[in-house]
This record gives sequence, structure tokens and C-alpha cells, in this order.
Amino acid sequence: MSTHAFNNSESKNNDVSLNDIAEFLISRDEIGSEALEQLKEYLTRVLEKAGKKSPAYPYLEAACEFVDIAEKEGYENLDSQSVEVLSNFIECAGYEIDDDEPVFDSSNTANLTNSTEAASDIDMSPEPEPDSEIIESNSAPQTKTTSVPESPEETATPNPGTGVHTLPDDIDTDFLSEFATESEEYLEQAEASLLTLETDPEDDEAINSIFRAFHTIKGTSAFLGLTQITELAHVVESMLGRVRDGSIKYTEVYADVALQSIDVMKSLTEIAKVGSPGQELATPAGLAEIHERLAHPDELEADSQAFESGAVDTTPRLGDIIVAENIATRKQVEDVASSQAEDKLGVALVKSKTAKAAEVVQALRTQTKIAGPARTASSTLRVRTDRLDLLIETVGELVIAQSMVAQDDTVHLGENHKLLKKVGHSGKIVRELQDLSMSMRMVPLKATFQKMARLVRDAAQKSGKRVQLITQGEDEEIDRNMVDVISDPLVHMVRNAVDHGIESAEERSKANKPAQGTIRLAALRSGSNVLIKVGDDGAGLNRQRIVNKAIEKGLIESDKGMTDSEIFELILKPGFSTVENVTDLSGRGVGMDVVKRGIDALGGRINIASEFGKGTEFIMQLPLTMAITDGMLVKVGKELFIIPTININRSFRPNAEQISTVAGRGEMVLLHGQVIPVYRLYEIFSIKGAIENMTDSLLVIVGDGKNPCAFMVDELLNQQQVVAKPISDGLGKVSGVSGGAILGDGHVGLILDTIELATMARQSFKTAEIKQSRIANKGNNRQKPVTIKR
Amino acid sequence: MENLKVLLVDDSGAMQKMIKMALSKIGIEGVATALNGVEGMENLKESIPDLILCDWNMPEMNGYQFVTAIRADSNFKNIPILMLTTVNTKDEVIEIMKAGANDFLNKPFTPDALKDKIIKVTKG
Repeated sequence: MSTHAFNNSESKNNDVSLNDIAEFLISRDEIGSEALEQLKEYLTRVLEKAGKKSPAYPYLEAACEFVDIAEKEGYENLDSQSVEVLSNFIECAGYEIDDDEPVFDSSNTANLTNSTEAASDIDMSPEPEPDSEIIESNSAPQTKTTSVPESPEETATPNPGTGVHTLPDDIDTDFLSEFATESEEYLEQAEASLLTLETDPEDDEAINSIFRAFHTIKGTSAFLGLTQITELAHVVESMLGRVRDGSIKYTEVYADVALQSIDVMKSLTEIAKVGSPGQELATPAGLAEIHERLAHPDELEADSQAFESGAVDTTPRLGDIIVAENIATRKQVEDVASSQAEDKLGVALVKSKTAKAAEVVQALRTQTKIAGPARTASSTLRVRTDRLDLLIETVGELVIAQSMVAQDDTVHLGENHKLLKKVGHSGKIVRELQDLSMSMRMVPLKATFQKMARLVRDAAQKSGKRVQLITQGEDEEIDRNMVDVISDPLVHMVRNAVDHGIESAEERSKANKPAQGTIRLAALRSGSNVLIKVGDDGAGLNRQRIVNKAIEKGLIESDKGMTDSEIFELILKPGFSTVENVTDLSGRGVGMDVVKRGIDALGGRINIASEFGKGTEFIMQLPLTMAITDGMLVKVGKELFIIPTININRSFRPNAEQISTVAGRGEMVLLHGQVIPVYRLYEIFSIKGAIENMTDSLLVIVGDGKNPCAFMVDELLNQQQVVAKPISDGLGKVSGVSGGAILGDGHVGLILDTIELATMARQSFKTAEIKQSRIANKGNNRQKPVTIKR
Repeated sequence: MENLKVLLVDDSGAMQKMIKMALSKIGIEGVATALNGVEGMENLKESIPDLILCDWNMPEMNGYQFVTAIRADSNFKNIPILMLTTVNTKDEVIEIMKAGANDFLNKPFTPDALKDKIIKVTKG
């Protein structure tokens, strides 16, 4: 508005200082077109004088640009908002140089002096650098309230990886622990994003999310005074920032550095979390190394370029996925690929009827998923796990209490239909509440699978093999409490797959396999169970080697009559290991038995399928939750047992023609052309007063399609959900029983572990048979009663 | 100053708490929070604060997008915005200013520094 001209400044021989401009701006709220013109002129002049090398140049340039835009847009006036922005630029420029000095830098000192024709007064020093240094040191921001950030090189301490660091005395431990939790989450996200980048280095959102993790950690840790963490976050962030703005190309070298940094950062947070105020903080291994590597970006860049020349595309090809999915053999895919070159592989596969369209679509989805999973953020609330556990437990009790009411004689035998209806209604609500409370503790397997991805990567690198991991079904959810327990078995299996499953590149090429091995990690829901499969396309299990080893270890006498899967299961026995070399990764003779124990503890089971030369697949079947079991209540004599519904195939009353006794295998029942062994539950548990005549009893068929067996019970009572409680405390492990449950009427029923029970029955039958001719003594108590092992 | 209504937008819960504590030390208690720009915009529709404190690097809708969106809306155009940042380069500072933030403050900061900046951007 007012035309406050630069009269003063003009009188000073064009020596416009930033202060003059700042004053000009401060003195008015709005700038009219006339003043804008002048402002522009002075800004241009200041900019020219400053020269490109001046630290203030970017701000001045931005200010000029701003005025330019305002002019082009035809603004008559600059409003107060814009004036403020301009003032900010000038202020920032001011921090970079001494306010009262005319703006110039050494590089165009000569030009300046020439143009102002004052050369005679000025020493034409050929080395103007000292000047610039003075300007630099004057610009130190310590006296300002705003500290304008400096480049990373300037702020990094000489030896950031070393030196003694202590937790600040006044640190707030609540904030500290919140910071630690949050950082862990950010770092996990960052890890996940890094793995996404493995397959799609161009994924901007992934880079952003890693950047954000370190950025946020840097900010928060700075507040808390955790200098070690701030310093590390700062250097990593700088590196990532260069990746993000495209000034360096993301390659595996940077991925390694970033992964290493995440590890070190995790240790740092871990150390800080447990520390008390004023305490000295330990320096985690690798911190100095990371700083060392990041301090020399040029070397990294060189490494990275060297790597890139030999780099391969890491996104698994469609053909690879098709083969890994067992949709078609590699040869088929390759034949199709070579014969129908003009079509895309997917189209060609469908045309040649090698694969169904649906399968190709599925494979493409898998590929897309690997390439860049869509990330959706939902609004969440953090709840303490113990409270959640308590809630679920209480709801479990409520379910039982409700079913006690529902099954009370006065309710279900009584005449009061209204009451029955009301009880039924409340039952429905209770079940909904139960489902809801269970779902709260369900978490996707994604995080667990991501850890495996990291593991495969590390293990493959260590063993010098090329391995890709394909994951499927990572959105399947399981009980939070199960996650930790399945993690160990999974780690063992995945490590085994990399270390022993996948062969070395030479062996693979000899066997006509692609040099890169594939490990497939899949989860799928099956009823109230989840199946987790770990498959590899490696060498497969060697039956003969396992048999030899098992005989040597005294686990079996011979392999006569044993199926492949029975042989393979021997590797799950404690102390069994066929690997001669103990490596850093696996093969210490512990491992698979740990896997088995872990899965047993969860009430799950494990199957092994393997074809020699083709690969191995471990299939874990796990309940979704350990808290609630769907069970069939059966009666044997006066005893009640619960057989998990998931295990039951069918039940029926046999007729005399179906029953037979096979020498060496015991009693059998013929069902749909399949001969199934029969075990009498009353014999196994030594129960008196049960039905002994098989045609009067009911047979419950349990087990999967391959190895079914029948348990003989008196009758089936009803199906109900039970809250499984461990009974091991004080009793030790009871064989054949996985737990106990309080039934609706208040009685206790034992939950049968049908798999273990079948194995036990088979074994005790064999033992009994060796001792005495079974057929001769038919009808006698031919099986050893189950005893409780302590 | 004490009666200022502040909207704090930051994706880190820990950071939110620390900033709130800093604000409370300088007497400002009326603080609404949002986790990102999207939430921040939602918040603005409900009530207009006297000052917005905003993180620069956030998921969903980052600081730049948030500030740009605010400045583009005539209802919110004049709300002072103070960016809370951990910027590294001048380019970033320039970006922040261009977006239309009134000023920025680098983390970590002391309550006093925050107070100075607040006085500056709210002009009292």
C-alpha cells in the first residue's frame, strides 16, 4: 500500500543488505504493485551479488521465484500471508550470512568489484576462500532462536559410533518406553518395506515409509536426548533421502546397509528401554561399522554400481510362480514360453491348456502381491495383552456359565417355553460375544511371514545360495498368543529349507533346475485350523539315509512295512540329524524335534511330504486359537470324553460283515472299500462297564484321508464348544489327552488327542503282539492300559 | 496465549505426548490432536483452531499436502501454521515456506523456543 521506497539503500551505492529488505517487508502488511516492482529489483540485485555459492542463495532464489509467480499471476497486491512467506525467506537467508554485510560470495567477488568499478580499492586476491570461511563461521546459528539445519556432514560428530553415551538424568521413563514401543513398530514397518523394495526397487511408498521410520525416530529420540539414536537415525535418513529424491539408485548394497541399520537401531532402542536415568548406555555391535559405511557414501555408491552390473531382476517371474505352485512342470512352462513367443506367457499357458486361467490369475496375483502389497491403514486402539487375555478368559467362563443355565433341567425339560426362548436368545448373544472377543486377539500372519522373508534372505546370503521366497495367505489370522509359539518352529523349518533343502547352484544346474531355489510359505484356513506350509524345490528327503540313520540311532529296527511319511516323521525325533556338517545355520541335531515339540504344545500336527530330487513340504496344522475347541462329547462306560470336531470324519454303527481281524494289524472295519484299524477306547483307558460288542457300539472315524482310524465309543452325546484347560499341572503330560474342559453340567471331560491316541494304540498293539499271539488270545485285554507318565 | 486452541497433527503418539507436555508448560492446554493430514482436515471441519502445529513427514496426507489443502480453503486460509520438523536441507525449508506455513521449528525444541515461535506466528 504505502510506497516506502528504498531511498536509504539507493543512497548507499547499491549496497542493499538483507536487513533493508527485511525492514521493508516488516513495515507493511501488504505490498502494492509499485512496491512489488521495487522489491523484485532489490531481490534480484541481492541474488546476483550473492552468487550461486552463497549459503543464502537458495532462499533468495526462492524469494525471487515467489515474487515472479506473484507478478505473473497478476496479483495487484501481495497479501499479508505472502509477505510473511517472503519475510521468512529473507530471515532464513539472513541466518546464513551476516546481516549487515552486503550479500556476496567469494566466487564472484571479481565480477562484483569489476561491475561496481571499485577495483582500485579492492585487493584482487587470487585466493578469496578465506572470505567465504569467515562468512560461514559468522553464520553459525547459536545466537538465533531458529537453528537453520545444516548439511549432515556438518552436524555429524567426528566419531559418532564411539564415545560414552548416557541416558539423560531427567528422562521421562514413560515417554522412553512409549518411544521404544513405537520405534519397534516403525522399524518393523521399515523392514517390511525394505523387503518390498527387494522385488520392486521403484516403489516410492516403500522408500517413503522407511524414510519416515528413521525420520520419526530421529525427531522423537532428539526430544528424549538419546543422542546415539538421533545420530544414527540422522545418517541413515540422509542416505535414504538421497535414494528418495533419486540422486542415488537403490540397490542391494543400500538395502544391506538399511537392514543393518534397522538391526542396530533395534539394539539401541532395546538398550535405552531398559536403562535408568543417568545410566551409561552400552554401544551395540555394528554401530561404529554402520557409521563408518555411511560416512563414505562414495564407496557405497561404487559398491552399488559394481553390484548393479551383475544384478538380476528380483521379481519372481510368472513362470517361476506357476512352477512353484505345482500348476505345471518347469519343462512344460519353458516349452510353452519358447513355442509361443508372441503371446504373453500367461496367455500362452492358458492357450496351450498347460494351466487354467484361474490358476494363472492366481499366480499373477501372487506376483503382484510380491511386487507391492497394498497397504491399508485402519484406525486402531492399543490394548494391553493381559487385559485382552482376561477378557477372553472371562467370556469363555461366561460361555460355560450360559450353557450351564441352558442345560439346566428346569430350563430345557421345563414347560416354560418363554424362558427357553430367552435363554436361547442370550446364548446367541454370548456366542457372538465370544466370536468377537476371540477375533480381537487374532492377528494376521503377515508380520511372521515378513520375518521369514528376512531370514531367507540372510540365510541364503550366508550359505551363498540364491533363494527366493514366495508367500501366500499372509492375511490369514491366528491367535496372537500362537504367533510367538509358531515363530520358532517356522524359523527352524525355513532355515532348514535354505540350508539343507535347497542345493548349491552347481548341484541345481546338474539336476536341470534353475539356479535360484524357491521356498514357498503358505497359510490357508481349514475349518477352525490354519495350515502353514513350508515347501522348497530342493533335493528332497533321502529315505534310505533316514532309515540308515534311524537304525544306527536305534530308533527303528528296520523300515519294513513303513510308509514314506512314517519314515520322514523320524526326522522329528529328538537327536535325529542326517547332516554331517554343523553349520552356523542349522544341523546341530536339534531343530526338527523342537519344531515337533512346539507344534505339539499348540495341539497342532505336522506332516512331511517329500519327493527325492524334487523338494520337500512341511505342513503344519494349527488350531486358530488355543482357547476354545469345538468338540463332540462321547460316552464310554460312565466316562465322558471330548473329541475335537475337527478330527472327526464320520461316525457310524458297524454291522458284523464290516468287521474283520487282519493278522499283524489287529481289528479292522471295512468302510467304502477302505480298511480302517479300530481301537477300543475303553481298553485304552481301562474303563469298566462299556459296551464291548462292536456291533452295539459306535465307531468314530478320525484322522486325515491317508491314515484314518476308528475309535469305539458307547454313544455320541452332543457337540459343544469347550474352553480347553491344560491339565498338565501336577499330573505331568497325560498321553492321548490334550486337556480338560468343564462341561455344561459342571462335570469335567477329557479332550482326546486323537493323533497321539492312535499312535499309542498302534504301538501298544504292536508291543502286545510281540509278547503274545494276539489272535489266540482274542477277547483278552490285549493292550496295555494307558498309564500316566510323570 | 493461554486460551489458544491448538490443533496438533503428528503421526507419532510419543511425539504428540511430548509436544503436549511442552505446550502445557507454556500454559496451553486446549490441544486437539490428529495423526495425519486426513484426520487433521476432518478435525478442522468440526472446529477452527487458533493455531496448527504440524509435522512435516506423515503417512496418508503429509505436511505439504495438508498445508496446501488448508491454504486452498477460504475457511482455513488464515489459520497460522507452525511446522514442527526435522529438516535437513534448505530445499526442505523452502518447500515448507512455499506450501504456506507461517514458520517452522526444528525438533527437538525447548518449551521456550516453542513459545517464541507461537507468539511470532499468532502475533501475540
